[in-house]
Amino acid sequence: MDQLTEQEFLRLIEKHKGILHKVARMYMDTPQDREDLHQEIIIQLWKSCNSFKGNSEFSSWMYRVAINTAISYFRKEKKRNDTVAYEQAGEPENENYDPARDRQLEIFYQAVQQLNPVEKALIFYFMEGLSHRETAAHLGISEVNVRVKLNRTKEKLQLIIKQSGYES
Amino acid sequence: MNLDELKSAWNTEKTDDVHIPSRMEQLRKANHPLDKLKRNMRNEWYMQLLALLALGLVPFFSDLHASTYIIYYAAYAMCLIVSAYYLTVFRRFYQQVNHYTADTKDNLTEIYYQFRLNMERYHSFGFLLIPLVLVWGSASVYSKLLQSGRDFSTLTPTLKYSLLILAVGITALMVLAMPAWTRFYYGKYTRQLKQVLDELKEE
Repeated sequence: MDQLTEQEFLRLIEKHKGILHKVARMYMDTPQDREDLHQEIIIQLWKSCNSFKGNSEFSSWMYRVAINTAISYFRKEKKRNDTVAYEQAGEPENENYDPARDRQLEIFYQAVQQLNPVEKALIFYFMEGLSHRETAAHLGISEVNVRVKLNRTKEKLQLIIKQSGYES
Repeated sequence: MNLDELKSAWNTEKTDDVHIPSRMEQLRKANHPLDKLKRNMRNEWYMQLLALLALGLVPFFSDLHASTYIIYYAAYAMCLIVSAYYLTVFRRFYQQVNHYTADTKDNLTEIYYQFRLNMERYHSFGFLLIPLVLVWGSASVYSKLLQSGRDFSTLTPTLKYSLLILAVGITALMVLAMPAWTRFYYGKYTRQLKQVLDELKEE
């Protein structure tokens, strides 16, 4: 496949911007940090564009670059007072707003913040519906390792959610 | 919370917060730690080159006796030749450090070991300056002695030992300072990378 032009590239990013949104929500806990990460991932995707040969799905290639960027995008440790507690979280402006569903998702994202970078990647791929084999290929570890780590991470996540006081 | 059931909400989530620019130039410059480190390294490269060239002018701006020039420039030439090798590999390193498209473990492993290797290269490069600094110091002391009509043989044993201790002290300081400097600038990032790599280990 020929090199993507800038406009083709941006069209593809627009089409798959859900990946940017979800990766940033998982790895960053404030809107400002999330916006920074969106930009950073787009820049890194553009810089790595020549490695996209078109043999695989654009989304699959984008997963890898986005997760690798997010995992290694270490923020400076700082005291944060701009995170939003569950109870304080505002409801998004959305015509099809479903309070129960969105509250669940909000609680899920808040709990995910307490996972380490690799655990976040495992949960992200799981939520995206990737098989253990695909997740293993993206992370560069064995399928068995993915299964073990994913089960452990899900348990950890459920515990965090439970400790937050959420009852479903 | 049932994560499988949550997938429907996950898949239909709004993505209004993501703004895709109409042109890439509208984005700020890359801010990833690796890009910042590459920018730092590029600046350091120019500073190292300038410092090396400045060292060549030392005899003209210090009070070194003309008879010591040959010794100084012999040490400088050795330093220059080996530095050319280091500056070439540093340049190649920051141009080649690339990332993101391999699988996560390979990607992070490569970045981690490239950084470790480069930190060691920095140490070696710093150690390379030790002989030049010692030659410079010795030539400076010798020049001062010549100006007062003396030479090394006229030094008292106490002064000789003091100079020896000073030379050992300078060497030890440089040997300790180089790793401290690389740890300060690159240590945190490599530690964070190592932590993630440990998380990826087989269980």
